[in-house]
Amino acid sequence: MKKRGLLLFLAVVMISLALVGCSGGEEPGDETGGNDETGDKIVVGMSMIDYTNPGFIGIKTGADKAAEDYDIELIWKGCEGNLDKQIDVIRGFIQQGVDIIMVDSVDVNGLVSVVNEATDAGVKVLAIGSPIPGKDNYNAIYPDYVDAKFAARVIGHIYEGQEGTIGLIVGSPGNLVSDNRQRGFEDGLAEFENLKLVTGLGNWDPNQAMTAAEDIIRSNDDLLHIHVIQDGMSYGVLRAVQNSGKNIPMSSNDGDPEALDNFEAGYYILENLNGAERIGYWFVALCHFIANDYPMDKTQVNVLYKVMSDELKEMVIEKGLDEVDGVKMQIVSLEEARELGSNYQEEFGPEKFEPTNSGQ
Amino acid sequence: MTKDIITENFIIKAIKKVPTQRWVAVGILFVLVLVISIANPLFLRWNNIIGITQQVAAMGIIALGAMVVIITGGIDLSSGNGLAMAGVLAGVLYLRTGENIAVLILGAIVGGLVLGIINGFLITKSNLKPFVATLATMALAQGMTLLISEGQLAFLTHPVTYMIGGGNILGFLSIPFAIFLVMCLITSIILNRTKFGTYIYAMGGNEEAAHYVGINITKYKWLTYIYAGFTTGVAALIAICRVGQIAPNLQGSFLLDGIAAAIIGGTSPAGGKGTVLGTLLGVLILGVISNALTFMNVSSTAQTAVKGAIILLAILIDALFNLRKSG
Repeated sequence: MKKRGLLLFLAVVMISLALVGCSGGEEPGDETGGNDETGDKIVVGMSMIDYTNPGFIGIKTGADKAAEDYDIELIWKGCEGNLDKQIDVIRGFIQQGVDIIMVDSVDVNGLVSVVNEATDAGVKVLAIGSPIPGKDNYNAIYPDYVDAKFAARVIGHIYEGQEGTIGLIVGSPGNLVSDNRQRGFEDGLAEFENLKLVTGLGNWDPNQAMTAAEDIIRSNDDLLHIHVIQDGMSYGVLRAVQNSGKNIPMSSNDGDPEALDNFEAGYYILENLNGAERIGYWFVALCHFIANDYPMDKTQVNVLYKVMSDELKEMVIEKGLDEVDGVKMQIVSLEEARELGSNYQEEFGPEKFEPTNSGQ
Repeated sequence: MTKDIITENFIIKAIKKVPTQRWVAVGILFVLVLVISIANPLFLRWNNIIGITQQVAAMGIIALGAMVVIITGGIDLSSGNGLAMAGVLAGVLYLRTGENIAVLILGAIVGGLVLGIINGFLITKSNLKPFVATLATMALAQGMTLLISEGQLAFLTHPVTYMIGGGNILGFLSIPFAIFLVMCLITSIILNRTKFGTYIYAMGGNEEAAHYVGINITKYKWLTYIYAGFTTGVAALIAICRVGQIAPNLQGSFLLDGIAAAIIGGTSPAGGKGTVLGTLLGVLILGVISNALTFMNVSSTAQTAVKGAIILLAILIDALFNLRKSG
């Protein structure tokens, strides 16, 4: 009897802990089940790829602030990178009757059908990061391909006239963000025949990224530079570079505060600023306008900022590298980047922000 | 002259003691090293060899825990997420106590031990199958990692963390690998020189028979999972010190690589068989394979598949030799 009681206690503790760990927000009750005419809170179901990436916390922090500023209720659900699970999560949100489903897609094509189910059922869908080619959904994108291509072209010009190897640390093949950033970088660097590209697999894990970077450093004596497609992995790569005792410049992507510190310290020469908190805020701000049928373009593109030194900026502008595939890049200084990364509540807040509306 | 003959006899006897299966693993390792060094001579550079030993240390310690559990006929699926949990627990405590290095070390080990205690409890006291119990604790560890870390990352800058993660002894033995070797020694002593070790093999060979001869299965199986938890904690310490940060997404491929290394090294998935030497060789084989993928410039999209295929091949070769030996 005593043993059974102990087991029951342990089971309850474990289930409670699991629930606390897996839930990120309140479940919508009957009282908050939609944005009806009585003026209830807008309820947004957030279907995220996973919760283990530090970038996610940045997005969540920004999103939570926006939810407060715009009076929106968020329900967070992860799917551990599993498409089937993400489809189930989205169907669950449709059943719950949320107002908007925000989707951080595991696979954009694999989600088309369920996204169409949602929009047919009257639930609006906002795809974040990469566009979902559904019938009637909204997209909030940051152009990963173009960003990475820009970085590769700048790096290519920095090492103009030198023969050598460029290392690239990617996330995981099959992941849309990783694939777009890898493809963009490869296409951008293909213009430079003097540079050989070697790719290492980081799997979004700083330890694996570090191992991949160590192997690249040791197997290429002519290594000139390492580009990492995500800040979270770049810290492991930086450790590998430091341990090697070599002076290998790096560049990275996301614009996390720690990465900007590394830029300031001279380890990174180029950083792409999304700002996880900043885009998290932007996504939820867009939900407010979508829920209220505000006239806006179905696809919203976030302005991305490139952080680099004044000398590099001069070269980029002089060589006309600040436009890639018709997209104009915004180049900012470190101070401006830090300000942009922290002042997003003003940039996208209720007082100032309006989504793009080209009238199309 | 006499001394030389005695030494020679000792070496021959020692070599003869090594089972054929271990020579297969040595052969696989030798062929891999040969092929890779022909493809890229930089592979055999000393700094690369040292580098591989640094890279495999944490995974190797996980493999030792996996091996001990598998010998009993069980499995521990929680070690990968457990490593991340123990790592963030240690890191958070370390930062909250003003960067106290003793807290970091103890925090990681205690984190792993607690996981081992829970696993052992679920398996022995509630009669859950090890697969089910450790699958549940794997999810629990993942949730706990996020709760403890709140998804944030923090950097470890204490000189001792640099030493544990990347230091070396006399310039040729990396400290992480030295810790792995010490863990190999401890595991070997447990398996070959203690009553506990004998019971581990007995439980995996035939649990019912072991019970009838009076072995306290509950006690020793529980202890086995606690030991596996201990290895997870030590591996967590090395992993966070090596990468110099506490991040919730650190579990990577530790679990699968650890189990694969034990199996490649000849640990029988059915239980009852497995050696530290075999696991050590399995760990080195896996380390060399991972390193070789970059040295041979295998594309990132193909790396996982190529690694899987080589592991499968190594296991098949090993199984083939076993079959011939038993047949």
